[in-house]
Amino acid sequence: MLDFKERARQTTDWLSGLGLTGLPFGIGVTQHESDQSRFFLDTPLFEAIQQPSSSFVFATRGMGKSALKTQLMNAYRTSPSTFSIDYQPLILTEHPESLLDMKDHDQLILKTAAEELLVRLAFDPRRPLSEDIMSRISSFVGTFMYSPLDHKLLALLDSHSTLAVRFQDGAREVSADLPSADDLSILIKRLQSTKGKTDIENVGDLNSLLRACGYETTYLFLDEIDAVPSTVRNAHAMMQLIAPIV
Amino acid sequence: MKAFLPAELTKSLAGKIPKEEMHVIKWTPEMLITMVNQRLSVHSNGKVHDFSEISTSSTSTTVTTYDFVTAVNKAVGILSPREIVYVGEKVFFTHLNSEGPQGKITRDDLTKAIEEYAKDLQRWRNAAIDKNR
Repeated sequence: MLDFKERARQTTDWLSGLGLTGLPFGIGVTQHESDQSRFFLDTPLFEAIQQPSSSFVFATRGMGKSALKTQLMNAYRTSPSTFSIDYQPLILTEHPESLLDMKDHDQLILKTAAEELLVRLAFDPRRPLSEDIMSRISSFVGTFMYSPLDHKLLALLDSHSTLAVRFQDGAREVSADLPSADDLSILIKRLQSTKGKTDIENVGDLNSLLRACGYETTYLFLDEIDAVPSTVRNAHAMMQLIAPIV
Repeated sequence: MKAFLPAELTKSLAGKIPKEEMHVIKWTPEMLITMVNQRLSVHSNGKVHDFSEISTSSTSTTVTTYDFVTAVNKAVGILSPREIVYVGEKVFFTHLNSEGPQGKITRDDLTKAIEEYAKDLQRWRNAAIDKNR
């Protein structure tokens, strides 16, 4: 009986003899492929949904929705003025079995956007960040799970205000796209002064923050709405879930 | 908004959103053939461009990408990239189980892989029925 290692070596040799570097098929194979863009099939549909308008893509399971979404998000990531929020409500919520209302949606969208914004700012080539600032951002991300959302947003705004001030004071690389300290402080004051504000208004403030950070266009990507048993093949439940945001 | 939604919602949302913003993912056999050949090419650093190049050369047993995609589509009943990838993997494992790590892919491997796929499908359906009971 051949041991596992020997069997694997023989299989690799066999594939190599066929001219292959590995198994070209398999669900496991496709999910672990590091650069999915090499396998992506550019179609007229992909062209159509790249247009700067809303798009609603419908498909049964296994037809490539996720691959299409990933490819579109990657395309937008290369655009410095476009910001994408990857919103998967049933994956993000702690209670996926109870359908979400508008307030829940807003909270989750804000949280997802704030996290993505931190990542984008940390790796944005237009804003080369010092190690000190990078470590502040990292520690901020680390505390994300433990503080209420409004505190997180305030801290986020505060952090970026500091970033903007530092860059404007000392760095020669300051980009014209950077938010001004004034813009950010106005946003912070607006958040601080209106404690009883609705989440809708907070979403509006997030939009202002994104614009102030140089993102002219923001896309909300909605996906995985049939990720739990209560919504699988249940059009009524899925409609209830997305009605507040669509 | 860029929404990626299950097909079940097409009817529910028709009329609620502008027609020009609604898109349905549809695959053609030609698109699936291109997808398979692209996968073969990427996983061979550009050396393999068609299933026939890893298949036996005898005309009675060779499997082209066209043969592969056509056979899977016929067995599955819909044009689905996921099923193509699933059966594609089975073709390789079927060959390894019957011939071991030697030789090229044959039509027999494809036929057996599709038979295996049909059995899997039946098992999943039975499991789903049991779950709903």
